[in-house]
Order: sequence, then C-alpha cells, then structure tokens
Amino acid sequence: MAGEPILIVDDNPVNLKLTRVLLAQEGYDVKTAGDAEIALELLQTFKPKLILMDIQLPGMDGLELTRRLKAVPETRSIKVIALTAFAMKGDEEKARAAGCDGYIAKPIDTKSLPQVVAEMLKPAKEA
Amino acid sequence: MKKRKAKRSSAKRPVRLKKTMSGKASPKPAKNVHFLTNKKSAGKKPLPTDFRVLFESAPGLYLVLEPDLTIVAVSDAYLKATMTTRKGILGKYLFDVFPDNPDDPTADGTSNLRASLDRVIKKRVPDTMPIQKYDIRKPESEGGAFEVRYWSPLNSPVLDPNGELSYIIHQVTDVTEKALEEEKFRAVLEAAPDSMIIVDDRGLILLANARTLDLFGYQREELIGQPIETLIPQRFRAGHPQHRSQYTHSPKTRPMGAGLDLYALRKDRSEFPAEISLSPMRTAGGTHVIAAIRDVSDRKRLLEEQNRRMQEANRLKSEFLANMSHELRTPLNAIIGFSELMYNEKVGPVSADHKEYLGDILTSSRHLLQLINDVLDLTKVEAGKMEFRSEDLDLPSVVNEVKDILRGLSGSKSIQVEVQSDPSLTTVHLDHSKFKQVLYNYLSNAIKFTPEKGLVTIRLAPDKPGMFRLSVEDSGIGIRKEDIPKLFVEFQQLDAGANKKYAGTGLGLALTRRIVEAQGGQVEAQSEFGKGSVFSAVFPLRWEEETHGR
Repeated sequence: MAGEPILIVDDNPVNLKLTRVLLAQEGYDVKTAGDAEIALELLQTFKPKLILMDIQLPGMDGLELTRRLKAVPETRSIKVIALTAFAMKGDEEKARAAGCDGYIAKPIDTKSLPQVVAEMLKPAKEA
Repeated sequence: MKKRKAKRSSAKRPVRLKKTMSGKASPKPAKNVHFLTNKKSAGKKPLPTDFRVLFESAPGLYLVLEPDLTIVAVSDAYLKATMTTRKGILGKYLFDVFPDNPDDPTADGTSNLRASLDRVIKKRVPDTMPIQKYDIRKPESEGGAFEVRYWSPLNSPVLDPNGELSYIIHQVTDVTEKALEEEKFRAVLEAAPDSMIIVDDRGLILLANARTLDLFGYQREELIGQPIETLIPQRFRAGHPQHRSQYTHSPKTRPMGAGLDLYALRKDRSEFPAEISLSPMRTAGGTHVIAAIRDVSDRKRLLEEQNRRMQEANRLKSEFLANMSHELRTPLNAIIGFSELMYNEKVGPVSADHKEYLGDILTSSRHLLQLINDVLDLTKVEAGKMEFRSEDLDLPSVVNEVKDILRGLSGSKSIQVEVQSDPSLTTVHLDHSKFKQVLYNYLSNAIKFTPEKGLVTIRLAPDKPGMFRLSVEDSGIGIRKEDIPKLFVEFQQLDAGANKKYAGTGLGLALTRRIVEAQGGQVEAQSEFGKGSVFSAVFPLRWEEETHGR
C-alpha cells in the first residue's frame, strides 16, 4: 500500500514541509518542488502517481502546470489535487477546468489529508 | 384762441367741481355750473350745461383730436399725467408736443400711435393699441427729464351725422403699476438659473426665459407659440398630451415624473437629463403651467462617478480582505498542522504538560482560523461572491445532523436539546450547507449561553405564506433589551464580562443574518434578561439562487 511516489508542489517551505512530513509518515515516497520549473525538471526522472499542487506559485502557477501535464501523454495519468487557501467562488471550478482531479482548501487537515490521498490513489491502482 | 379761452376759464374749476362730485350731499351747486331742468326727467338731478367742464374734470386720461391731429381738448388728468399744461398743448399738432424721446433710439411710441390713428381715420372704428412705453417729458420747471409710463391707449372716432370723422378721442389707461409688476415678474423669470417656460392650456409655449434659450439652443421667436412637445424627445412625445391633461385636472406644484428619468430635447436633437417641476398659474385665459427645467447632466455624471468609485472602493476592500485572509491562513496552516502532528504524537510521545499546551495552541489557532474564515465569508456575502446552491433538503434530518455535531458540547454541560417540528414541514428547497451553518450558529450559541443541565429547544414551524421559521430557544443568561439591536451587527459583542466567559468571533450572528437575508429570509431575536433567548430565522420554503440578485 505504501511507497507510492507523490510530488508536492508548494512555494511555502513550511507548508511544504508539513505536507511532506504528513505523507512520509504514511509511508509514501515523497518528493517536493518549490515552483513549477523545479517540478517540471523533477518529473523528467521522477514519475509520481499523484501531485499535490499549490495553485498560487511564483512564475508559472499551479493551474498552468496542471494544464501542461494533462496535455502530455506521459504525465496525463498522474492524479493532481489542487491545494489552495484562496477559497473564493470559482476556485474549484477553475481547478477542475485546468484538469485537476481533486481540490483541497487550506488549511489542510492533518487527519483528512492522508485519507483524501489514499482515496485518490485507490481507483488509480484498480484501473 | 377760443379753445384756449375756454380752457383757461375751466382751469379754475376742477377743484370745486371735484368737491361737488365727490361730496355726494353737497347742498349748493357750484357757482359756475348751470343746470338744465329737463321736463322728461323731472325729479332727477339736472345735468350741467358746460360739458367741457365735465370732460376736463373727468377722472381719466383723455385727449380729443381733430382729424388733422390737432389737440382740441384734454382732461386735467391727462395734463397731470403728461406733466403738460393745457395752454402748452391745446391747438398744437399732436406729435409736436408729444415727440419720441430723442435719447432713446428704440422709442416707437409715436410711430405706433400714428399707425393707430391712421387706422381710425381710415376705418372709423375704435382701435386699441398694445401697451405702450412712453417717456413723458417733465416740465422745464422740474428739469425737463423723461419719466417712464406704461399706457394702454384706445383711439375712438367721433363721427358727424354724415358719418364723417369729426374728432378722435384718445383715451389712455395708465397701466404703469401693472406693467412694472409684470416687468418684475419677467425680471425674476429671467434671473432664474433654471429654464422657465409658461405653457397655456393647449400646451403652447407662451413664454420662455433666457436660460431656456441657452439650454435648448432656440431663438425666442422659434419657441413662442410652439407646442411644448417640441422640447421633448420623440419617444416620450406621444404620451405627453395625456400627462398634460391629467395635470390640468389636478393642478398643484409638484416635480414632474417623480422617480423617472426625464430627458429634454435641444434644437440640435441632442438630449439632456432634466429635472422638471410644474406649478399651475391661473389666468383669465385658463390654467397655464409654469415648468422649471434644470439640466442635471453634471449632477448625474457626478453621482455616477461617485457610485463607480464607491463600487471600486468596495471591490478593493473585498479583494484586500480576501487576500489578507489568504495570507493569514497560510502560516496558520503550518501552525495548526504541526501542532496537530505533535498533539497526536505522530512524531513521538509528549509529556502531559506538552500535550496540554499543544492543545492550547491548537484551540487558539483554530479560533483564529474561524475568525479569518468568518471575515472571508462576510466579505464574500458582501461582494456577492458567496456561492449558494439550492437543493431539496429534509429538515428533520438536517436538524439531527447539526444536533449530532454539537452533541459533544451539549453533553459536556448535560444540556437537553429538544426538537419540535411541525409535521407539515419536511422537504424545503434551500442551500443545504448554509442552512446547516445558520442552525449550527444558533444552536452552538444557545448551548454556550445555557447553564449546565439547562434546556434548548429547536422549533420548526410554518410562518407567513411560503415561509417557515426556524427558532432556537435557550434557558440561558438572556440579553438586555437595549442590546438586542446589536446582536446581528459585526463585532458587536455584548458586555465584556460575558464576552470573556463565552468567547466567540463576534461575527457568527452577523454572518447568519447575511446568509439568511441572501436567501430571501430574515432573522429575529427575542429575549428576557436572565431567563433565556429565542433566535429565529424565517426562510422561504423554496429558494432558487437565480432569484437572488447576484
């Protein structure tokens, strides 16, 4: 069950660390990126099953990065969960339109995040 | 010479004669007045023989001219009014003694008089002249200057038995006072900063002041006599005569088209927004209407500009609050997250004290998060950005859900929560999560403010047609009457003592009110201090987000 590769993209180092610690504790193989460029570079070699994507990133934002990943066959199958603290009307729709598979409003709940991630990885395993 | 003699002899009389005529019961006839005793009119007062005396003394301005316009008789009043003497004008050619004022090149009194006299000579019928402005020359003894008088002259022919013209009686009514009143009226009209138009009962323009000409771009001649509809944009013209006749039926001073945007049409076909007030003016010729028209383009522009700025400022405020909430939540995310990790001993065992203090950090940061969320929610409702999704919801099950969420809180205080639901109320159509939020706010408040082992009752009952009422009654501390209006206002928490014991964000009820009102409902609170309170929300049974403005 554990050991599945997950990428976290977040420009806030402390939040990035929190998510990383939480998921690493669950036994996932976690890698992190502070912006979209680093994420793209990492994806050359790292093939995660799921990406936790912060929407607001410096430079290319999370929505754009998701659009790019979903446009390429090699990365299309990666599940993307949008992470945002900006819970305004339309955010979820925007995330879905960009191709995100899920949406989590910050602050993340340390109890529910591992559950959401596990849930998201389940059908991928079955498929 | 003869005339002059007659005149001179009569010149002494008027004083006495006037006395006689005014003193009704004068016992003695005046010395020089002779009376005829007419058999036919026996018993009546005899008529005086000297008609010249009567004529000259008559109260009225009269001049008698021969067809060649020589002055042959004049009344004393005329002499007085023209500041002339009988000696100075009798036997003289009319226009020699009454010339135009040489200092006033626009003076047209004599030419008008000449034309009128010509008509009388030709047609032998009376001729009423329009009101004339005369400059009357004062006698040399008084400095010889001119004085302005307004006269309304009537020239009547006196015909001999053959129908030939023998005399012309020139009768003058001095209308100076009236004319000056009229002049004052016109001066007021001209000085008005608004366009002033007088319209007659047929809707024709009788009068328009200078501001009207500026505002509409017409010459005065182009407007006078034209229908008032000339100044109304084509699209409003058809209905206007009807409005006019309605106005004439109940004429009173009032603004026109109250609450409507009115527009006026310039000569160049451009329009401007106008404010119009109407006043009736009763005249011998029917009820006229005075319309005062003000161009409100500038004011309208200013208002629109202000409105735009206010909206912009409001948008910026909402944006600022939204951004701020975001910025505040990001570090809070880490604080809560790491505290939870440690509190739940995910990173190793912690001592009891550590656990307690970590719990305090968690409680405080969650409170802070609630505050931020409430501010963000309020901002969203204000900016019309809160999402509402109406759906069918089963009231009893929603009530039980919320009751369950708060079971921990009520249980810890041994508070009994009762539900009284009208059986007719089952399914309603509202935003599910927002309804839950409202009930949660009311119920958590009620439990918070009710002492241990108290009772809280949730009631669901029909209200006005199409509405139902959700109310939550507690047996808590109650609220002072004067504090009730503060309840639903942002950050208006009640007295500090209660505040410390029952910490809240100060936003819950304000948010509740906004959420309820956004769904077409309203909130209410009733309370008896020391006994308890009832908080209610009246909701529509069916609400669709489309029916909401934004």
